[in-house]
Amino acid sequence: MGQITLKDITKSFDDTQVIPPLNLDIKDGEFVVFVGPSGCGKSTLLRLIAGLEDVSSGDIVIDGNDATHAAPSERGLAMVFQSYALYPHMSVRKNIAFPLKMAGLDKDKIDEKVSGAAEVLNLTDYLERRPGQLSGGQRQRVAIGRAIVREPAAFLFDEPLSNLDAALRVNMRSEIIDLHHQLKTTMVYVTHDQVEAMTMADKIVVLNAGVIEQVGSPLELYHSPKSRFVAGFIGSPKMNFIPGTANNDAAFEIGVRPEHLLVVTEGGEFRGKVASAEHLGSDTFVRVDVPGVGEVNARVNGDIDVNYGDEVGLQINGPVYRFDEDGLAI
Amino acid sequence: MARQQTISNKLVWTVLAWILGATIFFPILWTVLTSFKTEAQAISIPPVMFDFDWTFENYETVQERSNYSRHFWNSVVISVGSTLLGLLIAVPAAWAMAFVPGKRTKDVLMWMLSTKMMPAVGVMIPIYLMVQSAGLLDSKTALVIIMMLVNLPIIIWMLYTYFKEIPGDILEAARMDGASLKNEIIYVLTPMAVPGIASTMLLNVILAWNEAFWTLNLTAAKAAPLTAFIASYSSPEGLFYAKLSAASTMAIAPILIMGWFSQKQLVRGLTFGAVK
Amino acid sequence: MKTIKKNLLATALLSATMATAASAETITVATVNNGDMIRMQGLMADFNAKHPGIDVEWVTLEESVLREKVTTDIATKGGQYDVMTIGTYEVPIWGNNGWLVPLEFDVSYDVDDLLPAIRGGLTVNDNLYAAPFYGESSMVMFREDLMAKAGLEMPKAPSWNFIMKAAKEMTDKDEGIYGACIRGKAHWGENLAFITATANSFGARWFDENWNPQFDSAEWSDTLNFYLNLLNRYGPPGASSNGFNENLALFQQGKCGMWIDATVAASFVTNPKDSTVADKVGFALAPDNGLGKRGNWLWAWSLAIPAGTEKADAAKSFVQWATSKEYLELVASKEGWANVPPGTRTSLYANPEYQKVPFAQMTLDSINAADPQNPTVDPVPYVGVQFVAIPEFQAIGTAVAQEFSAALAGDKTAEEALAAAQALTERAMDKAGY
Repeated sequence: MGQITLKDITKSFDDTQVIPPLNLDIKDGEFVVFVGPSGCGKSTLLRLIAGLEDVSSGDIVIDGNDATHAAPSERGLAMVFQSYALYPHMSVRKNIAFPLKMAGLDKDKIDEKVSGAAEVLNLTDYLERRPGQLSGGQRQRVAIGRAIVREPAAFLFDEPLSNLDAALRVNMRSEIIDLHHQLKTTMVYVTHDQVEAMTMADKIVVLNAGVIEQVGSPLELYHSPKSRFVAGFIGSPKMNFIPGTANNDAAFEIGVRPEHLLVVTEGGEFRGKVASAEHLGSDTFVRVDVPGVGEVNARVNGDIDVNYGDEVGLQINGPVYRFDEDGLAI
Repeated sequence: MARQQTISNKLVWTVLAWILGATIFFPILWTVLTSFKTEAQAISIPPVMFDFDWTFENYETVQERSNYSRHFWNSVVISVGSTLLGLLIAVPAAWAMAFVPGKRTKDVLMWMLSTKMMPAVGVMIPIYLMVQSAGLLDSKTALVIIMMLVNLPIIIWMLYTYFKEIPGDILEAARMDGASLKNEIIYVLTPMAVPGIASTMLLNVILAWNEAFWTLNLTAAKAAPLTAFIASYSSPEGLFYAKLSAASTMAIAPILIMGWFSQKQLVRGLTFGAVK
Repeated sequence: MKTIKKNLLATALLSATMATAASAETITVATVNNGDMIRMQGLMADFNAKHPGIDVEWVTLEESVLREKVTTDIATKGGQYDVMTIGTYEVPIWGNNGWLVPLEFDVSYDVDDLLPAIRGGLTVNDNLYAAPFYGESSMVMFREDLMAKAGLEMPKAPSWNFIMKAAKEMTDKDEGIYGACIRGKAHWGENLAFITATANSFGARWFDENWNPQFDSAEWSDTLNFYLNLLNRYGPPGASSNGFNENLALFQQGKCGMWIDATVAASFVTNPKDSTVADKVGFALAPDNGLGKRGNWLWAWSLAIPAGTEKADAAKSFVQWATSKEYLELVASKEGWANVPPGTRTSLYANPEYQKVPFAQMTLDSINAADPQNPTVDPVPYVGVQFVAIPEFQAIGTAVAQEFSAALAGDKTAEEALAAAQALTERAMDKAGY
């Protein structure tokens, strides 16, 4: 089981409210990603769930029990930290065994569970080493191992991949996804990287300044963003925002994703000079300087022949999102 | 050229370091040398460095006259006892100040340090009276407590500095892993702070070992440590420099040997946090 | 009937416990580190044999530490010590405060045998408050060979003028020999002891009969100028930091023509083991100026029993033993007559064996030449030769000692030092309410 419900929770540091009243349901077995720019409160929210910070008001319910004032250790949750937070003075074995030892399991049981976790995570050969003797990826696996042995109701991940290099990050990402498929345990994952969010999540929670902008599956957010903020945050390259007047639209602002634009020689809704053309083979990213609008990005066929300085047109070939003055979708 | 310059640079620093070291060590060396001289050689003008008749008679006299082992044992109990008792109090205190600081934590730390700025003699009479009415004059118990209190600010400050260097994440991880506060301190914080705690301990043992105000004023016969042993060989009327040196050598030898063997820990602990 | 029986039983039990307690009584004796006291610690077998019920614990300390500790203990009735070694300075003050147990000994102790000058310094309102363990005065120690070389002969009782002249003749700075080695270290027990005793022979005094400080008198000016001239011209370099020990080292190394200091030094400088000039030392009385007072002091390390002790009887047994005639004989039989603690008993100096000790007569004469009750030419309201037995003296004395030491170091003139001494003493005495 791993059902987490946040009811009207708020958090203030001194006089500054960083989380206004917030409600959220996390279902058992779900992979939920909190995403948002730095300072949006996603980590604070995670720490509130973990119990490392106290809520200022509201309730946290875990598996039907009120956990608002429970100590971290009583919530049945496990957490993986950005810095791994391994115990430097303990061997890998002891690191992984630590939560079991705290839970008062007997030695045989601990050994069995540690070996099991080490096997799943490919750590069997490293059990007697100290964390200082491991690579970044191995440390991350130890941190995960330490989390899974306790068989928690849910895993909490606080930007666990941000200290790894790009290649390793992709690997670890799929390892975590695999793990989720194996364990089927609720996972709450915090990241500022929308790619991680899109690739991993069952459900994405987009946060902005402590407020939930939108909750939904990756494709729901992609296709039906509720606000300009969500629309701009989800999707890569970023959505183009163009004043409504420039397209004879009544809306305050319209948004078109780069992949929904075609580059044409004649006609098109907008015309301008090519400011850059990046040929990636599979795709070409074209940046067009449109007078009166600014730069507009398009993601088009890899074989297209456009170059710097060419006069081109941009033709909308997909949905147009419309936003009002407050940035809300119309 | 550049290489030559770094080598000669290194040489200069090494020589300077040795000169400084020798200068600091010289009084101790002189004391030890004097302890092997006769009283006449000890005051001879010009002084003799090594060229004298080495004798053990001062050590024999001191052995005969004083109960060295009792003073030694008292010193051990007082310095080690006060340090352990101090750590027992200081570890939780420093934990609280380093990891759950309040608005006034900094002020509390400064206030604690400020108690060290007052000359001890200023509180001599009240403390003497308190110890007396507790019936603890000339007892090791009183000295263990007093020395613990005297050095507590230093212990807390040192531990606080070490604890500040420990990432808070790791302690939070322990909490997530189900460790109670007690277990968090015992299994995670303390082992990680071992170098810091060890050097705090060593330094504090040395401080308590050498403390010569309270140890002299609150003891008479039974609980008098080595400081009193040295003081009993000092005399304004009569030249007992060689015997005084022998007594001093015997008093500092244990702590010097301990310091020698633990110098790696000590240096590491004292420079902890200085180089980041 | 039953109750009476019960009571009897209880009393019997009680006295039995008390008897065992008494048999295991331990007294703590605080003492200074000097040869005579250390020697006594080696002779305790005799005491233990005579008093098997009393164990003695020794606390030996440096003089200033001891003074600080016993003062704290007695002022707070700490009860850490059962016997304290204190000087002639403390006894009148503490006796007056009721801090000490008056001593009454049985006939065998022969209290009238104590030297009158010493006994007088330890008596307050006709009660003896401390028993003298050893007494000392000051005298002139000089090098007979250097005196002969200078063509002079030291009189038995020299004048200050002779000392100045002899110092001049004996000084040979090329050879590193200085005519006069004298205390210059700033402390009431160091330079000020010498200067105050000297001032007595110059007709000066600390206070007049109404407690008015007298440093502005001509006599004080003469005293200090004489002292400064003597040391500046014929003293060793750096004299302003020399105390007893530094001068002892200089004299033993053959660097001094004359040394005016404590009589206890005689046994050091004549000991061939430590002294390079042991066979060349002569002694003379402290100098005078023909005014009827000599420039010597009087001091006695004495054993006293603090009023706070619960073991006064055991303590008294110890004090009686340590200051008895029998103890002197015990030391003589074990260590020789030269090592007997000097300066306490008339009978010792009547002993023909003791009269053979070279400095015995000179010590007795020096002690007899000092009178703590009437230390000065003009009358004074205080007791004490080289000190003033009032509680404020330690602080005032050390402040004045610093002024005089500064004058010797050349930081001040004699007149400036005396003016400062006068001002600070007036202020302190005003504050103290005299």
